[in-house]
Amino acid sequence: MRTDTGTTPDPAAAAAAATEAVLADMASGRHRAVVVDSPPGAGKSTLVARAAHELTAGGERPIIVAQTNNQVDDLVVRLARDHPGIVVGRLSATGYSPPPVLDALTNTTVGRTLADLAGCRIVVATAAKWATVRDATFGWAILDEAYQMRSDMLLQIVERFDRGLFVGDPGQLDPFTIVGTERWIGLPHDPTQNGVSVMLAHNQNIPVHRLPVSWRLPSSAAPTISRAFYPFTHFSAGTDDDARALEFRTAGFGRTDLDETLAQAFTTGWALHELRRRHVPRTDTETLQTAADLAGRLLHRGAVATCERHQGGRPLEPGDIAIGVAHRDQADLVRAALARTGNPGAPGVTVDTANRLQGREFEVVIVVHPLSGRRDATAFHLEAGRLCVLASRHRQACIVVAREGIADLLDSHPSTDPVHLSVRAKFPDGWEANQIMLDKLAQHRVAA
Amino acid sequence: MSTLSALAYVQAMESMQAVPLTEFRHRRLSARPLVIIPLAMAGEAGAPLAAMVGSAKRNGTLLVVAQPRNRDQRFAFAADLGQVVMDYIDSFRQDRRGEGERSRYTDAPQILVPNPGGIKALADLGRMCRFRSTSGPYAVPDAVPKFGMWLTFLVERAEQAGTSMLLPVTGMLAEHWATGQSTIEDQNLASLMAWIAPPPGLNVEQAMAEAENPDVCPPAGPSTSPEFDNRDLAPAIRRFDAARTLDDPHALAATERELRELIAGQIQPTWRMVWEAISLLRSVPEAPRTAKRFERDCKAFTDYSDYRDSGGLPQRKRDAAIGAARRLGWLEHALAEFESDMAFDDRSVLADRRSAGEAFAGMVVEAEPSRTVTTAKDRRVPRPLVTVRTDDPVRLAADTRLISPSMPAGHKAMIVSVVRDGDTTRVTVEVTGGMGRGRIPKQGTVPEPGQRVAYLPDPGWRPAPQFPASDATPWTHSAADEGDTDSAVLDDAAAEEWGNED
Amino acid sequence: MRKPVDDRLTALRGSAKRLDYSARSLAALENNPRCTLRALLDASGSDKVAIATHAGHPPSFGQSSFAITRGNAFEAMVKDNGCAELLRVLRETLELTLPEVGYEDLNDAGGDGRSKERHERTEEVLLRAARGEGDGTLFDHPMLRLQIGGHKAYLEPDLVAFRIDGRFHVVEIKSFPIIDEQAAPSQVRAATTQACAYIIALRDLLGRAGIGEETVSDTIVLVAPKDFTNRPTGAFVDARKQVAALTRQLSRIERIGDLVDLLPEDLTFDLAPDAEDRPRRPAEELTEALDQVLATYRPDCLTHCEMAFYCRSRARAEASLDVLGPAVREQFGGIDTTTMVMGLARGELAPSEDQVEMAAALRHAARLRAELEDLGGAA
Repeated sequence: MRTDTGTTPDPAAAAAAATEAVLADMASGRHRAVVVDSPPGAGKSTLVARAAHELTAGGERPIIVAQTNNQVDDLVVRLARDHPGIVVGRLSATGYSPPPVLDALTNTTVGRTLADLAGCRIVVATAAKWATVRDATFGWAILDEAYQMRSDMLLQIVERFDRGLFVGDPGQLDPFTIVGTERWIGLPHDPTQNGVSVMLAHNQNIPVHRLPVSWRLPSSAAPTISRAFYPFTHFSAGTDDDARALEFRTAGFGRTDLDETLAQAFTTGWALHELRRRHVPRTDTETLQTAADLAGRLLHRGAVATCERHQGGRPLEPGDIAIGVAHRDQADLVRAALARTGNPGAPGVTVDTANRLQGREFEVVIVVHPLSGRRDATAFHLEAGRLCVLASRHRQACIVVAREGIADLLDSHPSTDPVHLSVRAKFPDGWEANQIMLDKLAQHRVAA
Repeated sequence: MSTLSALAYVQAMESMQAVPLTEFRHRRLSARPLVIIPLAMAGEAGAPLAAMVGSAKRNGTLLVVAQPRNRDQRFAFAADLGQVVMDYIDSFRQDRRGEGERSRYTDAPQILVPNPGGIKALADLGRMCRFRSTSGPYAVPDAVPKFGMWLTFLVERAEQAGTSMLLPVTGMLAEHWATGQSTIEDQNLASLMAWIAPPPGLNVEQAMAEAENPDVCPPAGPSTSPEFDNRDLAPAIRRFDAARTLDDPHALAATERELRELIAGQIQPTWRMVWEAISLLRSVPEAPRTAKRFERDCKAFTDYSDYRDSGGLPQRKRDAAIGAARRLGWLEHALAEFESDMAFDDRSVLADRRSAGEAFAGMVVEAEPSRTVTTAKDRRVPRPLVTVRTDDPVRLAADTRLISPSMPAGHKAMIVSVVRDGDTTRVTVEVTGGMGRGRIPKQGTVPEPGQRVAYLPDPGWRPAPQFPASDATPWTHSAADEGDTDSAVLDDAAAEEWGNED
Repeated sequence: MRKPVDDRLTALRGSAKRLDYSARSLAALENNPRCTLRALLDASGSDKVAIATHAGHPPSFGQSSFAITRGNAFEAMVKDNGCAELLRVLRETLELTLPEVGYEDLNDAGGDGRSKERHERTEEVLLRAARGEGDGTLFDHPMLRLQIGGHKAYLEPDLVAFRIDGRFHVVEIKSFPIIDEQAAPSQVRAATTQACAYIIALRDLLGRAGIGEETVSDTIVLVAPKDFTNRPTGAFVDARKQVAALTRQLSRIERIGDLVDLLPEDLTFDLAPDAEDRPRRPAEELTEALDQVLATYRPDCLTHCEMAFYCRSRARAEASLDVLGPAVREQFGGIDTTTMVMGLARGELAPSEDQVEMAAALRHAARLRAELEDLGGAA
């Protein structure tokens, strides 16, 4: 049993040391690639920006590869702000219109071909867009969210660069395919696997670094998330126990069950709002309405969040709250449920699936547990990556809504997965990760 | 699985009869399919026991391997079966139309087996045969390697959604009918048929019970029932072996005949059942877009046939990095297209998508048929707006491209907005195609108020992904010391590492 | 006063001899740990085949003599000559560096090979090896023992254990083929279930002698025919997760007392035979007894458990959605039967408070289906 202090003695120093080691490996010229495993909120974007800076300072013209348009936009804005002296290019598909924040920057250029971006020192685009580029080659590429890029996508862009810095979070959702075939299982070049794993399987000498600190997760969450989803690569919180706090602006009258849950979350950083045991379809109104009601109640009572960025406290806004679910239809129904709360701030609350919440950050996150109300667990619902994303978006508190019964479901879960030759078992194991999370949440249980 | 399709299974179970899941049959059914019922020997791969093959119910040929562990007999069997199958395939390499690039055979073969196990048996046979050499110390009859390569081609194509050159009959039946049993039981052809068309004189329950009794309904294969193996087959094979050892021609003929009759008794009921299933399937109307996918089958058949004619190599044992990535791309593309085709053709499938929010149908409540827009190239083009009111839980985002089975071919649209209004939803779409070339849309190409219309997402056309050349696998997907493994493939496969005979 | 668990279990079983856990019952445990009926029958050592047969639903898990013969022949060939072929596979295919090999046959050559004696000899030899004494490297026909629910189950599969670099590896020899480095996942799984039980038993043995569990590797070696030949080849199977899961499920069996406490005192599945060796007890009485225990039927049970046909007939009789399988059943939330589903869908049955939402969804779905049928008819 690992003893966890929750924080390292000097997280900033540890993080800095890790970053320097990454940059040193890049500069040494000895490696075709450097991989950086980055747990949630570990400062990936900072690392990407820093690495880009080092490369340009060294005379390189690096490209940046991200997985979604939103990620590309965020990176362009970050890079442009950090380096007012250079022009950052955004390579885009037809029909793309830059968001206002990007438009407002003077040192960015948007173009559909590389020729349009000839004057740019750094060019950023999605992997899909890079896949349409022929012939051009660059010395370096920085690949962001690299563990979410599938191996076949990597194959389409790898000829564009000589060396790569691959940064990503191996604990979040893996890429997948809905085609059901087993023909590539066990092959090191299995195209359905993530590109980083395939690259490492073929190149034993590539250095793999870890960022050791999560700046996002509070000290109440880092140990549990680390143990559940990063069993071999421990990380710790960057802030102390007293760095973050949530307080109500008004006293609670009328909805004691919700208030009790919110109080638990405010004081400890976690809460399990447990509904009555029932088997229900995933669209169950009571469950989804409860999640919406918690958000509504939080907004209604008003909260003030204190943290290292806002030491005097800052009022919580709708945009600081997210509700995370497993399925898109649940997201729609939660949005409808939010509208029903009548709270004027409700439309500003983010509601999305784990897939779409990846990479994002909020102050308070409400999660509808993927296993809630189910009779059986399926591989999809047990998947560690899904729960990891849902449980690691928050800076202050995470509230999980679930019906009683998940413990029994886990306990009686059959072990029937097919077994394949020559395939390393994938860790963390979804069952074990779920069990660790449930054990933790049970300590913060509020029976509704 | 949606609530809608789950309800069909429940309905079937409650009413004790199969219930149609779809309006159409989404697989082409050839006028002249070749049915193969393979039987394999228990305990070993690639140990064929027998096969019944033919392109008409009355024309079944029974091939039996009297000594399944004998290597020569296996390949003799493969050659015999191969001859029948190659004759059948060659009969489709006669009629060719079109010029140059577009030249292709007008028809393609179709092989039907009872169940997915049958496809696996053919896959194993294909693997066993395709690397063999027709000369040298372990020579096999000429037809064998060619047969192996064709089988492998068909099996690999069968992995692609929407194709029809090699199909399991259980799969075809289960695509159209819901039974009141589980998918595991649906793999048993006799159980499936019990629900859809019980034998005369039996009700569904009785037929189900018989279907699971191997003495009444011999299994459809490739496995034989253990009781049959132990009680009948093993002794018969022993008697045949004894007769061979004694070198007695009378006894040999007699025991061989006995063996054949025994196996015929096991295969014939399945043979009849498969043809009955084919007949049932023929009575289900074929979905319109099946024809388009059949065209692709013809092209693939033509391409492979040409490759074979020019002396092409046998298929690799395992995909290399680039081949694997390419294959993944076309498997995904085929699946997306097949699912879209099914929803487009079939109201039941569309209803399923609608209930999941992935398609919608409703009444047009507003329209701006004469709206135009100026394109980037400074042309005025028609872009009517149409608002549909629907009860469906629409879950499609703005900018989703759409196609419509309710409108003339070529109709295209794009979602502008989705607005929920209590229990109904108003979806506004911009019509972007299928209106003819003029500035004014042709009559009937724009939905009108009062008209019922359905829309589903357009799977779209995306250019095929570009990968590095097959002989230039990048460093990320190849280990430093990886040589060309293709030569190794041929070397050790043609040489027979047979080991001990028992 | 309640009788102790073991006595209750013996009473459940009745007069027949106790059957130990086998490879099949372990596989059934993995497949359906939740099922009370299976748990009780296995824990009490009851003969599920006899019970299912007498209840009117004989199972059909026969084994073909061809498969058995082939399996034995292949295993014999691999182990022939001091495991010569096995060693070749380990060295060539799996690139394991086995220097000198000390072969120990733990089969009882002369005596009657009773489990207890062979087990004790195995323990002795393996412990010596674990302590670094003796030159043993390959251990053939080992017999280990697993404590399951307080009873000893002797495990003796077709395997060998070998020891290199201070660690034991479990080797399973099977006759299904490894074709182009892949094998049928369900068959591999069945093979590894036994091996995992072995790993657990071996760790238990060494643990009692104070030797850590890392001494037993959780990577299983599978030896099987290569492609379509008779020559063996090998492959590794990473069994970490399966070992963890089986360990959890075995510890569930320890809690069998909780289940037993919930049963009527006089419940028994006894099939005491009469003079002609047929069960004396009428079938209806047996089924009445069986019906008092909750079974959790899933279609998967058909491939694993001897009681499956019986449980399925029960589920069918109750119009249970279990018959259709979890994928269909989960669409209907808390509703259990087809009668209820159709009744609510047709609006013929009134939903309970908990079912209101589901009922509305069902009526909507039923309307859609009816619409489709009408259109189909008109077309």
